[in-house]
Amino acid sequence: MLSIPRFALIGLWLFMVLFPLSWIVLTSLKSSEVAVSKIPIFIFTPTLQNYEFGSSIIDPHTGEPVFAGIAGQFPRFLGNSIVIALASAGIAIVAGMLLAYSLSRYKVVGGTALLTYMLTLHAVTPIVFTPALYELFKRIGLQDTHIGLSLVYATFALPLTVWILKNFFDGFPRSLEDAAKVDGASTFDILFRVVLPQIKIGLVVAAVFAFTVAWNDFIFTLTLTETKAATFVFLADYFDDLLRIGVLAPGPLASMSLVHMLPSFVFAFLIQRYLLIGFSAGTIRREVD
Amino acid sequence: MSGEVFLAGPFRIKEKHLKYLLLIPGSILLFLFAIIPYVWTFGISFYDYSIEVFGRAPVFVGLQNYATMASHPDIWLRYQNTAKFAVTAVGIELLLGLGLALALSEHFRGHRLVLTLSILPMMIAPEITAMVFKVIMFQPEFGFLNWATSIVGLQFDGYGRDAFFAVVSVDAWTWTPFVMLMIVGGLSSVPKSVLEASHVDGAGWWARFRYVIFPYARPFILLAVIFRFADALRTWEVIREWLDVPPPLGPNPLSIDMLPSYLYTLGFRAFETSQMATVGVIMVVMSLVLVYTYLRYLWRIEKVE
Repeated sequence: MLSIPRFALIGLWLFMVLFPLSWIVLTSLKSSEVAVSKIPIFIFTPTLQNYEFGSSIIDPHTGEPVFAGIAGQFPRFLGNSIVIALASAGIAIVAGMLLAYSLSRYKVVGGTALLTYMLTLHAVTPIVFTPALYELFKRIGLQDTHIGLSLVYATFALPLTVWILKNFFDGFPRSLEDAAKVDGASTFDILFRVVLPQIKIGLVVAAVFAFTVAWNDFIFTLTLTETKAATFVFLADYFDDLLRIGVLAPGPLASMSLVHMLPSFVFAFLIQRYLLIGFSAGTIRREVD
Repeated sequence: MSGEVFLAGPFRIKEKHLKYLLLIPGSILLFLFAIIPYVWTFGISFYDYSIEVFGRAPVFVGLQNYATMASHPDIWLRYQNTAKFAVTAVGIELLLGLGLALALSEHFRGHRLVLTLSILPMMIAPEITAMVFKVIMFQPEFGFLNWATSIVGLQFDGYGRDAFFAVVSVDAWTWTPFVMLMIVGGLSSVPKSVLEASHVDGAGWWARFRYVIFPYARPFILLAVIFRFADALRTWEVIREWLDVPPPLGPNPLSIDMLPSYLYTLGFRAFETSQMATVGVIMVVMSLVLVYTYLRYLWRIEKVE
């Protein structure tokens, strides 16, 4: 049983977390007049009009739709987000798995330096890299392409996948691999048939966090894409533009934000025991439950 | 062993070569999109260059950018703001996170559900969190918090006067669960028998916390704090959103602008690419120091365990 102060603290925190989230859900179901009411309205007739992504927002002052060109693109941006996040997670998992396996099993010259460097890459703000990547992309024709963005996300997810998977490889008993080797199994047989099936959960955790790197990023989609390969987070820039011309649209913002959050929430429940491993960038290997 | 291993099928390879072969795909990615940009950024900090005019030749200026940035009053203000933000936000997160971790240290019905719900804020894209809080919670006309504070008779101005408080609260909302999770992880190593023994011995809650729980939690508290300080050097989205509030509502930029947002402004608003690179190099060094401290400490703990 929980003592009263404990119960109060947990209750307070849950309220602080869940109230804003519920308020977003409510706002997403409100018509534009209800959503901008000065006194918050809790009881109203819900509408799903905010979930019609692609329809443009009406300027209340003029009655005209604004930024119709961009608004119509959002279903496609959502598709971009899914494709790019999946591609970059796939690349990061394969490259990271091989790299982590090598660093875990062999003494590699500069191995520790490489691990430290990658953690720095994770720690430093990606803004530092954007002018360089912008120039590089212009030169090699990757600007505003899905493949370019996927490769950059894969690179920035690599530290996570390597650190997470190395921990899982380190925890896997070597004797099993040696036994398979004596039986004449090839290295790739050992890796794919003996080791990987045993650390499946590590692969899932690494994949989730690699996916999240791409899914949640804003700086690269802002600087390296224009309209072709822009991802769904671009919606923030769109609502900023609306604010700048004095159009407040909390309803559509809430519905789009909610759709963006949903996959991450599903992941949270899917790998709940392993979240500490991912959020500590793979440095701390503890299951929490 | 012959030193040779089967790769797959008929391919054989020396084991000492294999380990480097496995490094190749990842290294190519790192080289192209992380190391080249590092080197370019470092190099361009000694030149006068702007990406605005693509293809214009950079002009070598030696250490001039560093001298400019060192004497610039603007940048010292950003250092101060970054430090102020980091200390305030991490302080709040530490207190709340520690409290929550202790509250969650004993299992109860629904424990895991509570834990998972508590960490949801961290899962959201920082830019989305910033935007949603900016428009739905803090908007002066219909923002929920403005209404809630006016009910209790407070004049709350989340866009202007109280902007610092607003951005710190968004950060605390997002990252308190991280500190909590780290400490919960640390507390999971307190042996049940030790806790029970202290119960039987009749130790009060403070004595139990101070002498039984805290020694186990301390390394993780420190790791969490270093980690969060490093993160403070990346906090950009929420600051960008608040700086972007259209006048006349917006805050005094000097009160909340921090290093990452300054970096962005230099690079993509002022197009001072080489000055941005200079600040970037300094920030990389700062992150490197924090990462190194973190790892040294982490490895020392692992050795003890």
